[in-house]
Amino acid sequence: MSDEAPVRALLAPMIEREVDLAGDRFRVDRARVLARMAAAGAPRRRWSASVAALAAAAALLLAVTAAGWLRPARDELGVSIPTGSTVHFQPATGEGQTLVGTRAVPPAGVLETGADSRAQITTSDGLAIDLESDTRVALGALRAREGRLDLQRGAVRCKVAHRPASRPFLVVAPGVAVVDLGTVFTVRIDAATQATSVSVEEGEVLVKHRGGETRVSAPGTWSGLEAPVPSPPAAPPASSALPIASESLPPSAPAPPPAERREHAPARPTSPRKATPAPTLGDESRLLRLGLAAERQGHAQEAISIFEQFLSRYPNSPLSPDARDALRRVRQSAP
Amino acid sequence: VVASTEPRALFANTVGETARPAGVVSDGVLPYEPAREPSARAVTQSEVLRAAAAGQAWAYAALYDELHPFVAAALQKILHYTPDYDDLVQTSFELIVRSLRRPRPRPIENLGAWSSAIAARVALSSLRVKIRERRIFNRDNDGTTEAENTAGPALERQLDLRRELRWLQEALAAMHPEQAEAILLHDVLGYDLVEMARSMDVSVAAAQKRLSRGHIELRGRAERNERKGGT
Repeated sequence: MSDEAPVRALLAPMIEREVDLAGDRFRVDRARVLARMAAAGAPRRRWSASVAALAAAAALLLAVTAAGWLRPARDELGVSIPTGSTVHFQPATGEGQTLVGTRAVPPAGVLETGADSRAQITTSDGLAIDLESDTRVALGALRAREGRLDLQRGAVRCKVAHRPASRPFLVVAPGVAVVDLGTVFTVRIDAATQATSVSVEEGEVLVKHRGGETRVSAPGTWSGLEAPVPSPPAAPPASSALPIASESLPPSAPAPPPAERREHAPARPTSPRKATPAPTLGDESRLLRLGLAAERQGHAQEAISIFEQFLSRYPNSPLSPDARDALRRVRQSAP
Repeated sequence: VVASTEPRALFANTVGETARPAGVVSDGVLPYEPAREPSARAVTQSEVLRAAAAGQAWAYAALYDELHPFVAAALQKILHYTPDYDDLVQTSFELIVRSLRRPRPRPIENLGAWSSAIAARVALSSLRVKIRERRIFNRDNDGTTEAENTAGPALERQLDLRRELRWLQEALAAMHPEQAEAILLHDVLGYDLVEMARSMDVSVAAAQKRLSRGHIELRGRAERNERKGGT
């Protein structure tokens, strides 16, 4: 090789340059980079019909032959923990596993951030959920057809890519279900009052609460208190793409009850409904938690009894799949 | 924070996989075991690359977190400060994703070197555009940092450094792109011939040839510049 010394001298301004990863002059907007990566990675739709059909057939064949071992890769959640650590509680054992950095997590169990940590959950279908500090969420139904995140404590900010109407995404918090309509929004449970609030940054959400349903558009917020509020009889809406709207959520009233207030103009109540009295999501959530606590403490019979009670009282609850899973699990592990 | 461009371990090794030196790719066997109880686990490099190629968003975040120091090192060493630095980082990562989606003759072995090569190409391309537009002579892009301005060497030395950097950037931008890339990867970013060759998707012999010719070309340009009375 040729003599490198003169070349290195010529290159000195570059070789000796120190790299700055934290300075203001070299600050990088991580979210924008990730968005651009996602755009670059989006599938191109320029195939001819015949090529698309061939690809679909090949994909079907692959899916049929390899479903057993490929499925975990599709279903797993990416969990990124930029600061501190996050604990993932196993669904079967209840054991906690501390996570740091970037991890792949099955869509099951509970994820809990600490007082000094944050986490981001991403799914293969473009859902990004930021967990604030001291937040607890159940992941069990996140990858279901009706993607659902159960917020048990703290706050989550959800950025939802466009989803077909048949695959809605909702966040369930005490007394409230927030249905995404293509948007960026935050759901927060106040630690002191247990009141749930929703703020919408982009797009629109449908907040289903004890008083009925409220559409909240960006920029807008909605907040409510968890305390039970007497509701007049109301009926489910004539049509709804979501089973939760007519079956599991409490009836609506023509006007929001006193415990709930709209803080910004974009929130507007939907049409009043008539219906039979229904339980509150808060009650359902409390009963389910009781059962899960009994399960964790090893009281299998008590847990079975609570889960059975739950399923008989609230058969159409959005939490029913969790209760059924838990019941099956406890029955299998019971002596 | 000063980033090291030394190759280092990218992503944690997963349960069941033995620790491997930095940049050594997974054997391609899927790490999933159907009978195993699902649990949170570390993500392997090969898994992240597969997921990114498949368009999974979580993999982009993992890639960015791991490769940002390599991309930043390449851009900053070649360009120093540039007002569109953020955009160049975005462009680099966009090309990284596009490249991952294309079929490859062989797996990526050193992810750091590979991403550095992409960022170096982005930097060279940016240099060519700026030289064409004469923006390289703007004060904002003269290669000095605030530290150099306030507590650096004497003004005369600063001006010399700026002239040297400007000449070097123009010379590299005017050279054959493959030769310039070889010089940047090997001499500036410190990758060895094997890493450089794999990042450029050529044989080691071809990489060495590009490097040697690049050295000759760069020295020739320097001599011609000296004869003309430049730096």
